[in-house]
Formats: sequence, C-alpha cells, structure tokens
Amino acid sequence: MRGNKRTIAILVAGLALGLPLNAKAQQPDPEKARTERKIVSYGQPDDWANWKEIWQVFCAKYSCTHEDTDMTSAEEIAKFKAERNNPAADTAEIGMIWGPVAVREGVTAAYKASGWDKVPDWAKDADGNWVGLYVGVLTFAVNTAIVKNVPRSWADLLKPEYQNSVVISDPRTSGTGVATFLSGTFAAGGDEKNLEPGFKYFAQLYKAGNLKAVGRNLANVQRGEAPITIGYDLQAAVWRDRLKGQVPLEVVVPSDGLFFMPGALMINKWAPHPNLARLFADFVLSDEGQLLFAKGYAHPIRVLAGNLKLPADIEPKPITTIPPEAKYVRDWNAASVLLRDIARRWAQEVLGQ
Amino acid sequence: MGVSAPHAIGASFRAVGPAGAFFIYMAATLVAPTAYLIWSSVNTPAGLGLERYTTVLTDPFYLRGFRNSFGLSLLTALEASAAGALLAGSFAYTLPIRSKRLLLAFSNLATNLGGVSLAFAFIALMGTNGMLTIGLRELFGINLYPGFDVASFAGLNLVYVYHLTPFAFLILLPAFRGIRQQWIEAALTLGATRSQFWRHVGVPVLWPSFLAIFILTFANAFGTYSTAMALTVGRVNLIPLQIGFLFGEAAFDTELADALAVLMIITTSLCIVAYRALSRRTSIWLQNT
Repeated sequence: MRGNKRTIAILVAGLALGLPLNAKAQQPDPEKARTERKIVSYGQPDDWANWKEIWQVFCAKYSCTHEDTDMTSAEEIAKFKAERNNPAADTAEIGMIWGPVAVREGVTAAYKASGWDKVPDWAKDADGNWVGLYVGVLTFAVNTAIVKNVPRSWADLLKPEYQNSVVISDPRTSGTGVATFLSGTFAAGGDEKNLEPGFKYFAQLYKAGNLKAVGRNLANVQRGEAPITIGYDLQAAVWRDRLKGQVPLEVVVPSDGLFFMPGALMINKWAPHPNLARLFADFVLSDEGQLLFAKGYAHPIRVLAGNLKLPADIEPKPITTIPPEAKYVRDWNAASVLLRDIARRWAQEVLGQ
Repeated sequence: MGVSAPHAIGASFRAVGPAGAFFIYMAATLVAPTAYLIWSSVNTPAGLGLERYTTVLTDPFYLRGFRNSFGLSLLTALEASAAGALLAGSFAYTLPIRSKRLLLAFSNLATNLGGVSLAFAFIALMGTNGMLTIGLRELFGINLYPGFDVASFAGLNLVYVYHLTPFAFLILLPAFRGIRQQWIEAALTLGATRSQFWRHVGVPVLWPSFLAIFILTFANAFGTYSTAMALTVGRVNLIPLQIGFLFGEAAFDTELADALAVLMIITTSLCIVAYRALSRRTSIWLQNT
C-alpha cells in the first residue's frame, strides 16, 4: 500500500513538473526536431505553390524526410479530428475560409511563428491557430487556339460567343470552386457578407449555357475540352508553362476586379512531430521560405504586406502585381459562416435543382 | 481427452471455418459500417434523435433529389428489363448460333464496363466533341447539341440503359431457358396456338423473373454514384450525388450524409427482400431443368 502511495506521489510530482514543460513545448526545440526525422503534411503537394522545393530546402536543413497526401481543407480537418488518438500528419495547408472551422473543431495547435508579426492582421488567426503564407489571384486561362476573342472581364464571360466554353470547379466540392464563386461575387459588387450578386451572376452564366460540364483539370485543357478555365494564377501559370508548344494558354486577370485568396498553414494539435512542424511554420514565413513561394507563381504574403521585396531578377515572373485596390475577404469568420449557404444556394439558385 | 480436444477443434473449424471467415469478413465490411452509419445519423449534439431524418424528409431540395433518383431509376429499370427480356427471348428461340456468341460476348463486356470509364466512353462518343456528335454534324448536318446533352437526365438514362440491358439479359436468360421446348410442343399438340401458350403458360412463369430483374436494375441505378458524377459533374440533383456533396469542400455535414445514406440503404434493402421473394417463386419452375 505504502509503495502504491509513493508511486502516486511521484506521478503527481511528475505531472506538476510536466505542466510548465508542456506550456514550453510551444517553442520548437531544434535538438528534438533532429530526432523526429520525419514530417507529414496534408494538402501541400509537390505541384502547388512550389511546395516541392520548399519541402526539399526545409528537409535539407533539418535532415528529415517528408510525405504529403493531397486533400481538401474539409478533409484535412476531418482527418486531424478522426486520427487524434493515432495522429499521422503534422501540418496542412488550408483555405483561409476553413481556418475558423478548424478552430471551432479544435484540431489546431496555437503557435505564433517567428515571422508572425510581419503577416497582416486580416491574414492570421489572433491566437495563432492558422496563418496566411501566400495569396493566389483568380484568373481566366484561355486557350487562344479555340477562343479567338479573349474575354477580359467577368462581364465578358456572359457573352453568347462563350457558349459552352467556361469551365469552373464546383464550389460544393472544391476550394478553388469556392474561390471562383467569391471572385465572381466581388466582381458583381458583393462581398463575404453579401453573396446575393454572386448567385445572380453565376445563375445568369449558367442559364446562358456558357458553363461547360467538364472537369477543370490539365488533361481537359490539353485536349481542348476546356477552352476557358477559371482558377488561381499560380496554377494557370504552371499549366501554361507545361503546355508550351502544345496549347497556347493566355492567363487573364479580369479587369473588373482583381480578387485574391490566401493559402494558410495550420499545425495539427496532436502532431506526432511537433518540433519539426513549428520549425516548418517559422521557415515558410522567413525571407527564404517566402521567396520560394514566388518561384511557384504564388504571391508571398509578406511581399503583399510590404515588409519583403521580390528581387528584381526573380524568375519566373509573376502573372500580375497586386495593386492596393485589389479585392479580398477581410472577415474570415463571416465568410466561414456562409460556406454552407454557398453549397445549398449553388444547387438551388444557380443550377436550379 | 487431451488428444481429442484439439482434434474436435480441428473438426469444428473444418466444419465452420470457411463460413466463419466469411461471416467475419461480412461483419467487418458490411455490418459494422452500416451500424456505424445508423448510429452516427441519430447521434445528435442533443443526444439520440431523429432530427436529421426530419431535416432531410421535410427539405424540398432533398425530396426533389429523392424524386429524381426514383424517377430516373424506375424509368431505367423499366427500359432495361424490357429490352433485356426481348433480347433473352430472341436469344432463346430465334437467334442463329453465330449471333448468339456475339451477343453473349458483347453483354459480358458491357455489364462489366461501368463507373467512370463508362461515363468517359459516352463523353468520347456523344460529348460536345464526341465522335458521334462530330460525325453526325460533318456527314449528315445533324446537330446533337444543344437539343441533347450527355450531362443531363436523358444522358444518364441512356448510359444506365446501355449498362443495365445486357445485365438484365444475362440474368433473364436462364429463366427463358426454363421454358422448355417440350412444353411448347405439348401445348401445340393439344391444339393451343403459340400466343395462347405464351399468354397462359410462358408469361405467367416468366413474370416473377421479370419483376425480379426490374427490381434489381432499379436498385443498381438508384445507387449509382461514380457514373452520374463523372457524366454530369453534379449538374443533376440525385441523392447519391448529394451525399457526395455533403462530404465536399463547402457543406461539410457528414452526419446529414449518413442519414441520406441510411434512407438509401433502406430502399435498396427492400428491393433485395422483394427480389429474394420473387426469385424463390421462379425457382420452383426452374428446378428440374
């Protein structure tokens, strides 16, 4: 009996000692990070925003290996939660509109990375649960072999000459789809608190017969099945480069409103490699990490904030510079509340189901 | 004793082994997921309750989805089982042997080509830039579009019927073979006409098989997701697609999807029960063939 009591006393003392240690685990320990040796991510694939090179450079620094499984933001949150007793992933890239959802679901670790202060307030969670890394501008990728008269604005897309030519991602299933919807909404005079003009615009586009029912992907662009696709400039530019000599793609920034959406990083609350995960958050907000995004046609968030300059000789050249009057979502909580509305109203008001 | 016990275990394993393994497999892949679906659909934040079912069944949007799913599946089942019966009939009584081989080979192929590849085959054939679309336009000046759209209910109906007719044919074939030549000869000898034979003997014997295949093709069409998704990119309101969208990026509500899935399971289970009952009736006639 006495032996048991002693064990309990030791355990309690250990827990008491452990508490401040836990609180301190907020800050990454590079020594421990070296023993973790591996970092696992969701939704940060090689062919997006130059993640490939970013992981390579990071893992060369901390001698780790990296694995990614690509998925949507909603799936990331669901997987973090479902795997909490046997966690697999450390970090995930999340559409910012999903940031507040991730916080509500309680799957994120609050951590203010070392570049935290240099990220504008609208692009980060006040407690450090998620932080913006870069932004992408919504553009039209136009196959000029098929479309002779290149559309320059969202209003242009409504013209009869683009009958069955415009290919978008479904906002019900895809993050790019949600971004496309919001971009059209802002161009039509709405914002994250007033989606009405957006539903009107896309219903008009659908009724005109201009939205084509094929998947928005590289294969369909290559085959000529998708004459005009709407998506992020960082993806359109990569497609343009890859199809060089096969399909002439022009990437158009709509003249009636340059709209951008940020990609954000969140750390799994139950990350199996917590030190590497935090060091990674530090790295992607550092000068070096930020400029690596630019090499993948993404617009680093700190360049947008004005506290980091793109070198004049940067290659490749970005599709566009982002002017101060560009439109973007400022209130992510409001936007995230309206997410469910987007899905339902898209089916009913746009597709008329 | 010490020797016979392991022996007994060995014997009883031999007796139930394969069946036991099968039951474990079924429990893991069918019973457990279904139980989880049901549990998760009634497990609300306020305790156990049916509120998700009332949400779904009072929402005009999902009711329309159910109506569309039922309508499309009923129409498809009717067409596919009728066409399958005609094929099986002609196969059993009129077709020359060479055509029989061709029909069998084609049917086996078409029943096994399903899902996304089937949808893409039809897009390649009848999509806006499909071979048939372009061929008709260039050779005969006939424009399929915009009157027809492969990404619509009509397109889905066409693709489902293409897939399910050979299926109905293959399943109905043994039933038609069960109508033995001797029965027809006996009826003719006794003075009946061919049409009298079919009206009083043939069709009554085949009727349960026909109903059974109707139910089976209905259930098949009702539960199809990947073909419908690949062909229409979600432009039609069908319940399997709505379940998919509830797992999607915007309306992430997996519990509501679970409720819809349970309602679909109930529908298809009723189909299976009805199918079993009907095929028992048919098998009486087919036992001695």
